[in-house]
Amino acid sequence: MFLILEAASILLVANNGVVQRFRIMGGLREMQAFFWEKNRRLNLFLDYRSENERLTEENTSLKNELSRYRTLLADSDTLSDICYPEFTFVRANVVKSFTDRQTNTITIDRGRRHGIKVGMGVVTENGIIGIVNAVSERYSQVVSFLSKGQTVSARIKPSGAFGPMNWTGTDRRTALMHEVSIHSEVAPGDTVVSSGFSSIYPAGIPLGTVVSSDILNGSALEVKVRLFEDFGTIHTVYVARSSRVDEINEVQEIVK
Amino acid sequence: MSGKKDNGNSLLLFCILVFILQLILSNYVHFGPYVHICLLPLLIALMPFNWRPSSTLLVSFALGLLLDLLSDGVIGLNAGAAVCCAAPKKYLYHLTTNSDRQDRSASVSRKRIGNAKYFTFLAVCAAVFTLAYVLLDCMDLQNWGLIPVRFLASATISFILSSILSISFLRKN
Repeated sequence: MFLILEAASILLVANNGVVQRFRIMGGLREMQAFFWEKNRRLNLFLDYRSENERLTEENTSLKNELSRYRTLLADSDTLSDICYPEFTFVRANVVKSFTDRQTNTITIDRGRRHGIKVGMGVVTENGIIGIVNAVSERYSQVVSFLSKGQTVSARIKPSGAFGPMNWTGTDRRTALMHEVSIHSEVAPGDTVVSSGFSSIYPAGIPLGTVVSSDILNGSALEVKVRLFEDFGTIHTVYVARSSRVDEINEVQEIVK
Repeated sequence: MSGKKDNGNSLLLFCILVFILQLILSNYVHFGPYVHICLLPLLIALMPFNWRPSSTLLVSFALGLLLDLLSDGVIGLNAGAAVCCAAPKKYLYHLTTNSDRQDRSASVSRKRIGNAKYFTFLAVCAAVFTLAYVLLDCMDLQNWGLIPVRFLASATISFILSSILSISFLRKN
């Protein structure tokens, strides 16, 4: 009996993503999310001052970005040179977010009826948040970047060096970039952005700044990155819908 | 007879309250990546000794699974840890209390075995549960240094909270 139950538990843990996908369809999750949403609204109401400050800061940052784009646009032939024509974004509110576990999840108030699908990337203006893991009619669950096994392809902006980046498992503002070429020039303070090597996240999303780097096994650099995004205070996220995904899937089907 | 029934009812009520408290802790109280407070070992320790081993295992598994489902965690984590704690419960009891004269029809109580043995048993249950939980949670993690710190911090805080709950709400009988 012990072996059967323990094996069942390990199987459930190993297939967590699949189990969650079935689970989110249930009415229980809808009910849970309903209460989480009420709780979030109450917290937001009580915390409106800091939310206003955050929105003001975001507004200023977006105005500055718009100004930069306008300058770039003047020197560019087409808008696609500087934007992400292959992505459209769906705004979503965070209903519930966990940051203290080894596999953290975020529940957002956008689901199937808003065009959200499993596998879509979730971002903010300060970084990459995670990947949609399960979708119900009105809600979606996102596996946070702050989870074991979650990797993002990142690039160090000045040098162009790239490598996979994942969470350290402890501090929610710290991540590690691995397999960075030993010949790359990496300095503390360098900006790290998403590389865009996948069709999940757009390229160029700022992720954080380099804190330090170490040579690992004499063959590659391991770079410690301070993340811009504080996952504990996220209220609004954007689900990135890539128009290339269907095309890529089609090609993969043909190859199969 | 009526006193025994009253004790049984108050124990059941206590267990329900502990489970609700565990749900609140899991959903709304965040202690960071180093601490996972688990009160399930307290419930497992309080399960009557006259239950068949398979029943104890099944109830523990069901409680763990219910907690995983309601706290939006990785499904199977608490269930697996609960089974690991419930399986050797009787051996842990004999080992920590150094006695096999336990009244087979009753749950473990402070009055019967004394405070020192009761809390030692509780501490061992919390340690076994937490060790299983942390190992299952960190099994594919690169940061192995996290495991001992997380285990020590979680087991200690879980044991302290379980002891406080036992002293505050369980009559010494």
